[in-house]
Amino acid sequence: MIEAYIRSLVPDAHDRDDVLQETAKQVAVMFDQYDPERPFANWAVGIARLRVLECRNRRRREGKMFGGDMLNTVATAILEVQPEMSQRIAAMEQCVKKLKPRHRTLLDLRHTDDLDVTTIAERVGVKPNTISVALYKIRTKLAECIKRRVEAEDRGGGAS
Amino acid sequence: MAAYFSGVIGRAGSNRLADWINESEANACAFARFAIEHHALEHLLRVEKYGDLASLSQHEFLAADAANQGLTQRTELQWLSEMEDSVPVVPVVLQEQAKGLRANGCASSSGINSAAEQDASGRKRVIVIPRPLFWGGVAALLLIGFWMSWQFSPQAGGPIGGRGVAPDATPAPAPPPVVVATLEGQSDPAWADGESRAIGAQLIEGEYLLSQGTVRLRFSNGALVVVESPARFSLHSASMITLEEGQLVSHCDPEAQGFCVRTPYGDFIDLGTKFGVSVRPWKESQLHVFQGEVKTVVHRLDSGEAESRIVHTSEAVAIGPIHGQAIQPLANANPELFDTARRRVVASRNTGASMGEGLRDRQWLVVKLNQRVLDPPLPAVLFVPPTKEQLKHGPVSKLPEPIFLPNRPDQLCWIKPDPSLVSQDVETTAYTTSFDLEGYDASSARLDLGFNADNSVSAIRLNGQPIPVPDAPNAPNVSPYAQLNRVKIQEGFLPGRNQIEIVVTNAKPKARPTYTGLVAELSITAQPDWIAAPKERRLPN
Repeated sequence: MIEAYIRSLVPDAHDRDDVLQETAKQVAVMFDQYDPERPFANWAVGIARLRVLECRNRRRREGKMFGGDMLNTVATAILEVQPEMSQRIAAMEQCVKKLKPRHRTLLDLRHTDDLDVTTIAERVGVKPNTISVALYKIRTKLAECIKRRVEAEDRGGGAS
Repeated sequence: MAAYFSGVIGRAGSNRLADWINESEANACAFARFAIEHHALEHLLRVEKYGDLASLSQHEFLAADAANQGLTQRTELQWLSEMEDSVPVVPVVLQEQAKGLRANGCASSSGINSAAEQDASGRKRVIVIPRPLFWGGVAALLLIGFWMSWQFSPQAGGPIGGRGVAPDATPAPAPPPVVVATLEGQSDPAWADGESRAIGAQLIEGEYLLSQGTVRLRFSNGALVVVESPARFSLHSASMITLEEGQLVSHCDPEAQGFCVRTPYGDFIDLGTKFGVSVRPWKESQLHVFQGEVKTVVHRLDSGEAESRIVHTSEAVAIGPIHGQAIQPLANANPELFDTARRRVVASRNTGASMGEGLRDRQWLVVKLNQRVLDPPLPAVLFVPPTKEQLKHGPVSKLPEPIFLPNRPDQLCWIKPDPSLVSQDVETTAYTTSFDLEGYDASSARLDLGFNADNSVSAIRLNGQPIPVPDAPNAPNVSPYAQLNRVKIQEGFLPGRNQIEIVVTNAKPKARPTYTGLVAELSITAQPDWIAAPKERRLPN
């Protein structure tokens, strides 16, 4: 969840790695100051927020990162939706396994190899728009699958 | 949103996305879900490597037909059709989704990926387009693509691909920085960005993280704000600060009315007053009004409507999640909560710390040479103390190095009268510097002075009143010129402008050149008058 928080506020991958690393280090260093009576996630997100803020200060001129007020807004929202997300992510794992191999490969190219749509299109020999639409539809199908599984679990039954 | 997570969004797109997120709690939660799911998917895919690029045959992706545009289009369409036979008209679906999110709030929304939502009758909100019209649909998608890609598309690149956001990928030229406040005073400050800001530094719009100490800011509209560390704040304009964490005390004269302190949970708008604000992340923001009135504005979570309340002298309120985002009255305003600001407000006047053109000290003036009063007084100038070699015939040359306290440019240096004014027979030089206690309780002021002089300090006066001069330092094996003599002054301060005078006596002229100079490290602390000693005296109404 901490990674998701950082991911949501630091668009640049290199900056993100730095912030994550600094946050992890800070959490380790300050762990003896952690009050076990308070939620760990809140505490850790608070540390991550400071690191994100520092990163934003460095990148202020570029204007690609959100303003400082967003740090709290997003943190509050992430902490709020977090309880419901574990079920959705578990469902996602099952749904990803059900994807066709070529669809999984496409997702892999996009998310694991971090290739942009144009590069993927060049490598597979189709237009970028085709890849975009395909990715969109894969994600839509994934979302529908997740929704079905969550609803089925909520009803107490299994999901296909 | 997809463009944002793909890192191809520009300043304008980022601002619009931020506006959308701020539009409602539901939007913020939708963004949070997208972030978590996006990250989880990336993580999952990395863990489960599904094969490699080699498994994607060129035939599967019809690259062999790329030279034939018509064939390529048909086969791409064919390829796409394997995904699903219908193509969702995204704007319709997503507008429906957005409405649902805004109406339902966090708890009931179904996630950002659910582009193909179901309507009330349970049917999917998708529109099936006949295949001959498909490419027309794609063209339409291209036209609306930019808007869609940053705001709602659940997939990186979105239905229209990354090219849809290309115009926005180039960062807009950064606007020129706007100075909104001046650093008027500070006490042991440390900034997270590592910068060392001197008194008088002009602060531009932006975010600041004060990890240590206290700073006193004067906004361009006249508002005075003391920020206590640790604090994170943003300067927005001459009349607005956002305090994200930490606490501050604000003093706004009538002309600064309307000064706004924004916190994560609500705004505090000055109506001509003195007040303190503290922000505890995840919990609440507190407002303590010491004098006058402050308008508190919050947006309730339940109704989304704004709620406001005027908070008067000696009253306090709290707002935030733990109060259901309603305005919660507290027992009384409590200045003790702002302890650091009460005890430590600093001005400093180190000799040589503000050397201007010609190495003239703009803060230390020479007012008297021997019995001659200089009118107007003239700035002191940098004094480079003589070396051991230059003094080899004097008794001091037998002492270990350094003979003189070394000059530290911009921090602490020796000063002397302008050479054009000095003759061989100068015996006494009177230096003065002044500081302003306006806005502070003069009775609480403290002055710490460290000094040395060649040859010696014969008198110290605060506002004309003599201060006992301590004996010169006499540490063994250390030159008397290489250490600072210390004195603390705790009384004799006046409201407003104060002046301290240090008289230096030089050795009687000899045949060879003589040297004279002063080094002084001076700092003044005081309590802001609007919160000083609230228990002993009532604040004026």
